[in-house]
Amino acid sequence: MIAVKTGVLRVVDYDVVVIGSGLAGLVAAAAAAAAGARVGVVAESFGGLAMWSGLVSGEVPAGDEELDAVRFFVEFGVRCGLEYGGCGGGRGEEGEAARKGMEVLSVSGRPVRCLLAPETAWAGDLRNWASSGTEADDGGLLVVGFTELEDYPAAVIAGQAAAETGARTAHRTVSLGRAAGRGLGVRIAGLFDDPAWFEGFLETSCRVLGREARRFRAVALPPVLGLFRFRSNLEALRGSLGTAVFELPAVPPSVPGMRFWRLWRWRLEADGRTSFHLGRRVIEADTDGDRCLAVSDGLTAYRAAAFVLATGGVAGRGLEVPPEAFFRLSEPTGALRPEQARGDGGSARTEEGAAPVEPIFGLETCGRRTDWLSWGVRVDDFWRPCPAGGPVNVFVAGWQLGGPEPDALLSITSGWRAGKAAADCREEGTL
Amino acid sequence: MSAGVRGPALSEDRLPLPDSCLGCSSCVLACPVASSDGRFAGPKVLGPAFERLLGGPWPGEPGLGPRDAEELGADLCLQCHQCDLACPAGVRVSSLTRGAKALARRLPKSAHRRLTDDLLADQELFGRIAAVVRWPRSLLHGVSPWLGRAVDGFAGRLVGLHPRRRFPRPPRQSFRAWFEATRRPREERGRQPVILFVGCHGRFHDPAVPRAAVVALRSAGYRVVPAQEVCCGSPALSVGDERRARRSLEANARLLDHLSGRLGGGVPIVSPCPSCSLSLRDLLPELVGDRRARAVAAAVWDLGEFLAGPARADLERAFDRRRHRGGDGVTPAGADKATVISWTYHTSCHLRALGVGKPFLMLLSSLEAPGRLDAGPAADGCCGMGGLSGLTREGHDLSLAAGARVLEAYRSLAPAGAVVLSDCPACRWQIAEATGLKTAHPVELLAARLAT
Repeated sequence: MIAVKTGVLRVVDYDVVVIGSGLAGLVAAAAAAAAGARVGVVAESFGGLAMWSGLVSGEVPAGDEELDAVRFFVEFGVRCGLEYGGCGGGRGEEGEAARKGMEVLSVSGRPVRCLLAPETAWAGDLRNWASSGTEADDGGLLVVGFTELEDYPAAVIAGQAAAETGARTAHRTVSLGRAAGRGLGVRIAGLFDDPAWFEGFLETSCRVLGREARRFRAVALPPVLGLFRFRSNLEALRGSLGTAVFELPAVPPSVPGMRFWRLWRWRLEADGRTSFHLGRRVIEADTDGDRCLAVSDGLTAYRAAAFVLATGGVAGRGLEVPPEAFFRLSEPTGALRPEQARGDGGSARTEEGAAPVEPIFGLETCGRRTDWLSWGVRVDDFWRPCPAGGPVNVFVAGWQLGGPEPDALLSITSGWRAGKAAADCREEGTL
Repeated sequence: MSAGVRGPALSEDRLPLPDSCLGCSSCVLACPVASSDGRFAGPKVLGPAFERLLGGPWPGEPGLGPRDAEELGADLCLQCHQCDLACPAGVRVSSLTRGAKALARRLPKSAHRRLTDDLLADQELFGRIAAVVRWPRSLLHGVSPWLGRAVDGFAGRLVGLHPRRRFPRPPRQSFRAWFEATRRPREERGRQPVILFVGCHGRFHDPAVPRAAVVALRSAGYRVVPAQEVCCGSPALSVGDERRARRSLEANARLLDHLSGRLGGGVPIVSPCPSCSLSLRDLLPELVGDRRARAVAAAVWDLGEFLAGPARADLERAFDRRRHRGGDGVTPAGADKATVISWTYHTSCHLRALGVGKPFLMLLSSLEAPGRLDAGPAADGCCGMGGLSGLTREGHDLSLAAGARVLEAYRSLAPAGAVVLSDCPACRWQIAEATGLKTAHPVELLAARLAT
């Protein structure tokens, strides 16, 4: 057995180790595994996915590489049984309209322009139900809420949607019955995964909504239609209500995020190249010169040729925020401690007249610039944390790269790049 | 109560601290019981919230007691640790719910219920009784299988088993006897030793699993030394009996430390049962917490983790050698394609809680074992058995409800006649009984390929 410097007895070997299993971590693991690497994912939990609405917002990526990343994401999603579409790489949409993405209604009742949306939200595209402009076409949307799901005010959503789009909207509330209990999104999703219970729900909902639903172009439901059986459930609802049915993206705790996490993780594990070490927090790293040899959770050392750091933003708990310096980043990975994008964080947010924020690479790739707050790990052209002279086989992905808001597109593109680069590292020995 | 001590497995922020709980309900969503039984208040309430209110809502007011714990359904917690994995704030929820379970246990119960609980908690005693009656049972089953089943059924009722649950058939030969008969001390001289923590299931009920583990470890070039062991304490924890669990963990720490020292120190301790591994690796430092306990815990490996980790290269070489001797190394020699076993892999909750991934699935994939089927993402969850509680009269129906989705997914594989491979004996029992499919430990598949 090889003694690593960390002093732990237990060592496991991989080609690539990904730290973190949020969106960026999963995409990085998938990209590395697709390139033939044996991947170990070491993570505490699902990270920021708990708060993800499931939409990938943003503009169409400028570069070919980003488009490749998006295509990879879409294709892998098909294999996972959760399809994403809406942009050039997506299925079912071609041409100019596709490049623009789609505009779906969010839970606030506002239309959101997004690049990619999960299959459950496709029918929510405004083009499907908002007035097409002709007088005769009454279009319209019926927003359905559940009595047990109090965080989802159907009336407010319908009203806001009418004000925002000018379309005809209405709302109804259906009770899910006693089984729903105190009504928590993901718990209700568990009910929807039970075929016997869903039969009953289908009957009730048809009785309550049946005739009315037909008079609308689409019916919007809360995003709780099952973690696994969502596809057949939507199909059944569409059949029995006789109109398009979709889920409104809403957070948290996010069913779309949990659905994504389970299905991607399952696919990766089933492919047999990726192992998930969950409930493990990386607390130290073992480096030798300019290479990282292993990371460790205090009990087990995970050794690999390359590492992807996808530990998330503050929300993903990957970046420790010491109390004395709000927003100063300190990676929990010991010797991998990367430099912050800005020398002195915090001031940008709290003090007026702070120095203009330097845009970092991750933000620029998305064609977006943040002026009021920018923090993140500074990376070089190969997405390795700066300063130069740091470990050459560590790549950064996800929210650590910065950005004021959860940015799914950044996670997808950076995750894909980092995963591929890490897998390349294995073959070349060094980059 | 359950103020746990930090062990090597717990990083600094994985302490059972109730005040870190943000009340986000992630644990409720991960809990297999909360979604299937309305009587169970869920890990959030029985864990952090319960712990906070133990001392009363205000100073001077009475706190919560055993009656409250029972009303909130504390005894329904299966101690599967899935809440720990889900918590974004790093609270060890299961340590806190275990406290509530222990409290609920103080309530007076009927003598029969007490007997069931005590027997389930004390697998050592249960196993010894099983070992004593092995011969008469074998004889009975040999003379008349019908009579054997009838007597088994009566004995099961007596100790509180649900009528649908049946004791496993008595083994022909105990693991110890087999091990002594197949030992080749001269060949094994100079090889690196590995301590095999057999587990009660292997020691008393199903010696095929530890046998296969020995075959696999020997093929990889290790000298296997079975541990002098007592029950790992996991069954005791699953009924909330912390004292008994601590006692057996202490005994194991002493025995394993002594054995490791005799073999030269720092010897890996490998267990084919993920519940034993979890108990020895994560709960030993938490419940016992002295230096010896930590040293023992740090040396514990799950069998799959060990075979897919340090032993992988040697194991692959062993398969290569088999390949040279004919056959492809994964199909038994002389077998044609028609006899390829179709299999699927089920992850037990405690394996997931160990945070080692699915090592056997990785191993079988990298060895390209043919015949793999996939039950789909819905099968990736708890089978509902919850250690042993699903065996009892009270726990049987809940166990089927909690595992409904997973069991349904495996039933869909029934036409293909797949063997469900799982590391955990309780999962195997549940899946075999609820779906009619054959089950086996994944190491049995490996060993069958190696031994022919």
